[in-house]
Amino acid sequence: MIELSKQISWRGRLRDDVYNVVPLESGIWSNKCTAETEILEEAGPIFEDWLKDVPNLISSVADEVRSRLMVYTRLENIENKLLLINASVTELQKSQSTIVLIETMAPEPIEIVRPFHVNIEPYEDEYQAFFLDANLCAYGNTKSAAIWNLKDLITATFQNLCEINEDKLGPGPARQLKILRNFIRIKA
Amino acid sequence: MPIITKELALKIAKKLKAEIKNRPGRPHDLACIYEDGLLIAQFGLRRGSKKNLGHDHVPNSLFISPHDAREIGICNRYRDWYIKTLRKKGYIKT
Repeated sequence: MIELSKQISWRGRLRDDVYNVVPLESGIWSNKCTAETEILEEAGPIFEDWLKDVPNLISSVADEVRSRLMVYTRLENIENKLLLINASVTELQKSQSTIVLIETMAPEPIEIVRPFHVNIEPYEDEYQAFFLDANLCAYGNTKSAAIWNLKDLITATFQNLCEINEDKLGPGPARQLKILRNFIRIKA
Repeated sequence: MPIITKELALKIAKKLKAEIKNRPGRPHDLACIYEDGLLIAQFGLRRGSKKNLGHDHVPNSLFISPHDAREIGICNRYRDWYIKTLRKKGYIKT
Protein backbone atom coordinates (compact mmCIF):
# COMPACT_ATOMS: atom_id res chain seq x y z
CA MET A 1 0.00 0.00 0.00
CA ILE A 2 2.59 2.57 1.05
CA GLU A 3 6.20 2.57 0.03
CA LEU A 4 8.86 4.30 2.11
CA SER A 5 11.84 5.57 0.20
CA LYS A 6 15.17 3.89 0.87
CA GLN A 7 16.98 6.81 2.49
CA ILE A 8 14.78 6.99 5.56
CA SER A 9 14.85 4.97 8.76
CA TRP A 10 11.73 3.74 10.42
CA ARG A 11 10.50 5.89 13.30
CA GLY A 12 11.48 4.63 16.69
CA ARG A 13 14.96 3.76 15.64
CA LEU A 14 16.03 7.29 14.72
CA ARG A 15 13.38 9.66 15.98
CA ASP A 16 14.80 12.79 14.32
CA ASP A 17 15.02 11.33 10.86
CA VAL A 18 12.92 12.85 8.18
CA TYR A 19 10.21 10.55 6.97
CA ASN A 20 9.59 10.59 3.33
CA VAL A 21 6.27 9.11 2.40
CA VAL A 22 6.14 8.32 -1.25
CA PRO A 23 2.68 8.32 -2.80
CA LEU A 24 0.99 5.40 -4.42
CA GLU A 25 -0.05 5.55 -8.04
CA SER A 26 -3.25 7.21 -6.85
CA GLY A 27 -1.05 10.14 -5.72
CA ILE A 28 -2.77 10.68 -2.40
CA TRP A 29 0.27 11.22 -0.16
CA SER A 30 3.58 12.91 -0.55
CA ASN A 31 5.11 14.40 2.55
CA LYS A 32 8.22 15.05 4.59
CA CYS A 33 7.92 15.19 8.34
CA THR A 34 9.89 14.63 11.54
CA ALA A 35 7.36 12.86 13.69
CA GLU A 36 4.84 10.09 13.43
CA THR A 37 1.94 12.42 14.24
CA GLU A 38 2.74 14.56 11.24
CA ILE A 39 2.85 11.47 9.05
CA LEU A 40 -0.46 10.40 10.45
CA GLU A 41 -2.00 13.84 9.96
CA GLU A 42 -0.81 14.09 6.42
CA ALA A 43 -1.30 10.48 5.47
CA GLY A 44 -4.77 10.20 6.79
CA PRO A 45 -6.73 7.34 8.32
CA ILE A 46 -5.52 4.64 5.90
CA PHE A 47 -1.90 5.14 7.00
CA GLU A 48 -3.02 5.13 10.64
CA ASP A 49 -4.73 1.76 10.05
CA TRP A 50 -1.61 0.45 8.41
CA LEU A 51 0.48 1.43 11.45
CA LYS A 52 -2.01 -0.30 13.70
CA ASP A 53 -1.59 -3.41 11.58
CA VAL A 54 2.19 -3.51 12.15
CA PRO A 55 2.02 -5.41 15.48
CA ASN A 56 -0.37 -7.88 13.86
CA LEU A 57 1.94 -8.23 10.90
CA ILE A 58 4.95 -8.76 13.18
CA SER A 59 3.01 -11.31 15.17
CA SER A 60 1.92 -13.15 12.01
CA VAL A 61 5.52 -13.11 10.72
CA ALA A 62 6.63 -14.46 14.10
CA ASP A 63 3.97 -17.18 13.86
CA GLU A 64 5.16 -18.04 10.37
CA VAL A 65 8.81 -18.17 11.51
CA ARG A 66 7.83 -20.29 14.49
CA SER A 67 5.87 -22.76 12.36
CA ARG A 68 8.68 -22.96 9.80
CA LEU A 69 11.16 -23.51 12.61
CA MET A 70 9.00 -26.35 13.89
CA VAL A 71 8.91 -27.88 10.41
CA TYR A 72 12.68 -27.46 10.13
CA THR A 73 13.20 -29.09 13.53
CA ARG A 74 10.94 -31.97 12.55
CA LEU A 75 12.81 -32.40 9.26
CA GLU A 76 16.11 -32.34 11.12
CA ASN A 77 14.83 -35.06 13.49
CA ILE A 78 13.63 -37.15 10.56
CA GLU A 79 17.00 -36.69 8.85
CA ASN A 80 18.84 -37.83 12.00
CA LYS A 81 16.57 -40.86 12.32
CA LEU A 82 17.15 -41.72 8.66
CA LEU A 83 20.91 -41.55 9.18
CA LEU A 84 20.58 -43.92 12.15
CA ILE A 85 18.41 -46.31 10.13
CA ASN A 86 20.91 -46.15 7.26
CA ALA A 87 23.76 -46.97 9.65
CA SER A 88 21.77 -49.89 11.08
CA VAL A 89 20.99 -51.24 7.60
CA THR A 90 24.69 -51.01 6.64
CA GLU A 91 25.60 -52.81 9.86
CA LEU A 92 23.03 -55.51 9.13
CA GLN A 93 24.33 -55.90 5.58
CA LYS A 94 27.85 -56.25 6.93
CA SER A 95 26.83 -58.96 9.36
CA GLN A 96 25.05 -60.86 6.58
CA SER A 97 27.04 -64.00 6.24
CA THR A 98 26.60 -66.62 3.53
CA ILE A 99 27.73 -70.16 4.14
CA VAL A 100 28.85 -72.09 1.08
CA LEU A 101 29.62 -75.79 0.93
CA ILE A 102 32.83 -76.52 -0.97
CA GLU A 103 32.58 -79.85 -2.74
CA THR A 104 35.28 -79.39 -5.34
CA MET A 105 38.62 -77.63 -5.51
CA ALA A 106 38.71 -77.67 -9.32
CA PRO A 107 40.68 -76.41 -11.17
CA GLU A 108 43.27 -76.73 -8.38
CA PRO A 109 45.22 -80.03 -8.25
CA ILE A 110 43.56 -80.87 -4.96
CA GLU A 111 40.89 -83.42 -4.10
CA ILE A 112 38.22 -83.03 -1.52
CA VAL A 113 38.28 -85.72 1.15
CA ARG A 114 35.36 -84.23 3.02
CA PRO A 115 33.28 -81.25 1.83
CA PHE A 116 33.68 -78.21 4.06
CA HIS A 117 31.89 -74.95 4.67
CA VAL A 118 33.29 -71.49 4.05
CA ASN A 119 31.76 -68.20 5.20
CA ILE A 120 31.39 -65.22 2.93
CA GLU A 121 30.84 -61.73 4.29
CA PRO A 122 30.88 -58.25 2.81
CA TYR A 123 34.25 -56.62 3.46
CA GLU A 124 34.90 -52.95 2.61
CA ASP A 125 33.71 -52.75 -1.03
CA GLU A 126 34.33 -56.44 -1.75
CA TYR A 127 33.76 -59.87 -0.20
CA GLN A 128 35.73 -61.89 2.26
CA ALA A 129 35.64 -65.70 2.21
CA PHE A 130 37.10 -67.59 5.12
CA PHE A 131 37.71 -71.15 6.12
CA LEU A 132 37.59 -70.72 9.86
CA ASP A 133 38.90 -74.14 10.86
CA ALA A 134 42.11 -73.71 8.89
CA ASN A 135 42.45 -70.01 9.72
CA LEU A 136 42.51 -69.02 6.03
CA CYS A 137 40.89 -66.00 4.46
CA ALA A 138 40.72 -64.51 0.95
CA TYR A 139 38.97 -61.63 -0.76
CA GLY A 140 37.26 -60.91 -4.06
CA ASN A 141 35.12 -58.35 -5.86
CA THR A 142 32.25 -60.84 -6.00
CA LYS A 143 31.27 -63.76 -3.79
CA SER A 144 32.42 -66.26 -6.40
CA ALA A 145 35.73 -64.42 -6.88
CA ALA A 146 36.26 -64.57 -3.12
CA ILE A 147 35.65 -68.34 -3.19
CA TRP A 148 38.03 -68.80 -6.15
CA ASN A 149 40.70 -66.83 -4.31
CA LEU A 150 40.14 -68.81 -1.12
CA LYS A 151 40.56 -72.05 -3.05
CA ASP A 152 43.83 -70.68 -4.43
CA LEU A 153 45.03 -69.75 -0.95
CA ILE A 154 44.02 -73.12 0.50
CA THR A 155 45.96 -74.82 -2.31
CA ALA A 156 49.04 -72.62 -1.85
CA THR A 157 49.05 -73.11 1.92
CA PHE A 158 48.46 -76.86 1.72
CA GLN A 159 51.09 -77.45 -0.95
CA ASN A 160 53.62 -75.38 0.99
CA LEU A 161 52.91 -77.26 4.22
CA CYS A 162 53.15 -80.62 2.45
CA GLU A 163 56.53 -79.69 0.93
CA ILE A 164 58.04 -79.15 4.38
CA ASN A 165 58.92 -82.02 6.69
CA GLU A 166 56.46 -82.19 9.52
CA ASP A 167 59.24 -81.88 12.08
CA LYS A 168 60.09 -78.53 10.52
CA LEU A 169 56.64 -77.12 11.19
CA GLY A 170 55.89 -75.00 14.22
CA PRO A 171 52.76 -75.78 16.29
CA GLY A 172 50.61 -73.29 14.31
CA PRO A 173 51.36 -74.58 10.79
CA ALA A 174 51.41 -78.21 12.04
CA ARG A 175 47.90 -77.78 13.39
CA GLN A 176 46.81 -76.12 10.13
CA LEU A 177 48.18 -79.04 8.10
CA LYS A 178 46.41 -81.55 10.34
CA ILE A 179 43.09 -79.75 9.85
CA LEU A 180 43.55 -79.35 6.10
CA ARG A 181 44.36 -83.08 5.73
CA ASN A 182 40.93 -83.82 7.16
CA PHE A 183 39.35 -82.07 4.20
CA ILE A 184 41.71 -82.16 1.23
CA ARG A 185 44.57 -84.10 -0.33
CA ILE A 186 46.87 -83.58 -3.30
CA LYS A 187 45.61 -85.32 -6.46
CA ALA A 188 47.58 -88.45 -7.22
CA MET B 1 39.65 -48.63 5.21
CA PRO B 2 41.21 -51.98 6.11
CA ILE B 3 43.20 -52.27 9.35
CA ILE B 4 46.04 -53.94 7.47
CA THR B 5 46.60 -52.78 3.91
CA LYS B 6 48.78 -54.50 1.35
CA GLU B 7 51.46 -51.87 1.91
CA LEU B 8 51.46 -52.59 5.64
CA ALA B 9 51.35 -56.37 5.08
CA LEU B 10 54.49 -56.11 2.93
CA LYS B 11 56.19 -54.04 5.64
CA ILE B 12 55.20 -56.64 8.25
CA ALA B 13 56.61 -59.41 6.05
CA LYS B 14 59.85 -57.48 5.67
CA LYS B 15 60.13 -56.68 9.40
CA LEU B 16 59.56 -60.35 10.29
CA LYS B 17 62.13 -61.38 7.66
CA ALA B 18 59.53 -63.49 5.88
CA GLU B 19 60.45 -65.55 2.86
CA ILE B 20 58.13 -64.57 0.01
CA LYS B 21 57.11 -67.41 -2.27
CA ASN B 22 56.07 -65.83 -5.55
CA ARG B 23 53.31 -67.56 -7.47
CA PRO B 24 53.15 -65.87 -10.88
CA GLY B 25 49.70 -65.78 -12.44
CA ARG B 26 48.00 -66.69 -9.16
CA PRO B 27 45.98 -64.39 -6.88
CA HIS B 28 48.27 -64.87 -3.87
CA ASP B 29 51.92 -65.01 -2.95
CA LEU B 30 52.90 -66.65 0.30
CA ALA B 31 54.90 -65.04 3.08
CA CYS B 32 56.56 -67.68 5.29
CA ILE B 33 58.20 -66.88 8.61
CA TYR B 34 60.87 -69.23 9.91
CA GLU B 35 62.68 -69.44 13.22
CA ASP B 36 65.58 -71.86 13.65
CA GLY B 37 64.57 -73.61 10.41
CA LEU B 38 61.01 -74.10 11.65
CA LEU B 39 58.01 -72.64 9.81
CA ILE B 40 56.20 -70.74 12.53
CA ALA B 41 53.63 -68.79 10.50
CA GLN B 42 52.57 -68.05 6.95
CA PHE B 43 50.12 -65.71 5.32
CA GLY B 44 48.79 -64.91 1.87
CA LEU B 45 49.77 -61.69 0.13
CA ARG B 46 47.19 -60.57 -2.38
CA ARG B 47 48.45 -59.74 -5.80
CA GLY B 48 47.36 -56.42 -7.23
CA SER B 49 48.68 -52.95 -7.72
CA LYS B 50 46.44 -51.24 -5.17
CA LYS B 51 48.36 -50.33 -2.04
CA ASN B 52 45.23 -50.35 0.13
CA LEU B 53 44.07 -53.89 -0.68
CA GLY B 54 42.67 -55.38 2.52
CA HIS B 55 44.92 -57.82 4.39
CA ASP B 56 43.00 -58.03 7.65
CA HIS B 57 43.64 -61.78 7.82
CA VAL B 58 47.34 -61.19 8.54
CA PRO B 59 47.06 -60.77 12.36
CA ASN B 60 45.16 -64.10 12.64
CA SER B 61 47.72 -65.86 10.50
CA LEU B 62 50.52 -64.42 12.66
CA PHE B 63 48.67 -65.40 15.88
CA ILE B 64 48.77 -61.83 17.18
CA SER B 65 46.25 -58.99 17.56
CA PRO B 66 45.57 -56.46 14.77
CA HIS B 67 47.07 -53.77 17.02
CA ASP B 68 50.31 -55.70 17.44
CA ALA B 69 50.45 -56.46 13.72
CA ARG B 70 50.14 -52.76 12.94
CA GLU B 71 52.81 -51.94 15.50
CA ILE B 72 55.20 -54.29 13.68
CA GLY B 73 54.31 -52.68 10.35
CA ILE B 74 54.99 -49.16 11.60
CA CYS B 75 58.29 -50.14 13.23
CA ASN B 76 57.23 -49.89 16.88
CA ARG B 77 57.83 -53.60 17.35
CA TYR B 78 60.39 -55.89 15.82
CA ARG B 79 61.00 -59.54 14.96
CA ASP B 80 62.59 -60.19 18.37
CA TRP B 81 59.38 -59.07 20.09
CA TYR B 82 57.31 -61.27 17.75
CA ILE B 83 59.42 -64.39 18.38
CA LYS B 84 59.29 -63.76 22.12
CA THR B 85 55.49 -63.35 21.99
CA LEU B 86 55.01 -66.56 19.99
CA ARG B 87 57.23 -68.45 22.42
CA LYS B 88 55.08 -67.20 25.29
CA LYS B 89 51.91 -68.28 23.45
CA GLY B 90 53.34 -71.71 22.68
CA TYR B 91 53.59 -71.27 18.92
CA ILE B 92 57.34 -71.85 19.10
CA LYS B 93 58.63 -74.81 21.05
CA THR B 94 61.25 -73.84 23.64
